[in-house]
Amino acid sequence: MESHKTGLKPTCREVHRLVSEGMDRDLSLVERLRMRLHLMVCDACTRFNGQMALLRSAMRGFPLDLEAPPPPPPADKP
Amino acid sequence: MPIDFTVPDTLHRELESMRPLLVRFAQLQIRNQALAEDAVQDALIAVLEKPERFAGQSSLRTYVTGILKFKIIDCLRATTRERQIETDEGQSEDDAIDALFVADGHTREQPLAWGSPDQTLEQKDFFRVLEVCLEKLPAKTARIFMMREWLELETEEICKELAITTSNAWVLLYRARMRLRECLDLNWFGNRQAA
Repeated sequence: MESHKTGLKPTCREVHRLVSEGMDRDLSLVERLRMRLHLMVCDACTRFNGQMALLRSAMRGFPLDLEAPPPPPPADKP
Repeated sequence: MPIDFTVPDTLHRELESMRPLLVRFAQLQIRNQALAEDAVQDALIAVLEKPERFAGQSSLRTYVTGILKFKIIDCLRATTRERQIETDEGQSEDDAIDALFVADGHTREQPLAWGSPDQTLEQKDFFRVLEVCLEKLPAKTARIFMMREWLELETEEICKELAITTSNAWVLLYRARMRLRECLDLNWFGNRQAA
């Protein structure tokens, strides 16, 4: 039994997953409540939530005229 | 300065400046350079043929990626029959995610602060780092992430095209985001903190 998924209080692990899935589907009322209550008291998950939002804005605003990244540096000499 | 797209040359130049990135991003999804180049070429021609279609109603970016979306889907449809979608590419990643949490489900380390989003998104170097991070994703993970976040396809559409379940899609997208987060932390935000 995966206790971290069924406990009364959600863990960071569950909330990280909910933050991500909330970007791809509508969360249930219970899931939203669990997530919001946790975010109110957890800095780590709040930061993660902000990082996911930044990632989404970055992908949607990715500059189309960006030149190719430089090739990886040659392997180090022994 | 606003660009006057009623002048064909201007539109042409503008599209050409987008081509290299469009091909690189199409390649992340199609995984075949020739097919990716064809898809982009088809999309660019479609835009050039009907420039009036987008005039005034959306940005060129939205219009071009909107057309490329269909070209990429066509291409994936044509090739999925031959290509068995590999379903492993996962076990070690689950372990990697496990490693981020302690046994009771709390994070092992505090995520670093990433600073102001506005400032970050204004920097071209940030996008170069992000592109390198995208290229480091495993093939299937990169494909689904690009379809979801760059082409902005709905999860249901992606599942239909790639013949995967929705829960499988959520897991792959979650893994993609966790990997990208880690890569950006290390190669962009981490460096900046150390500087």
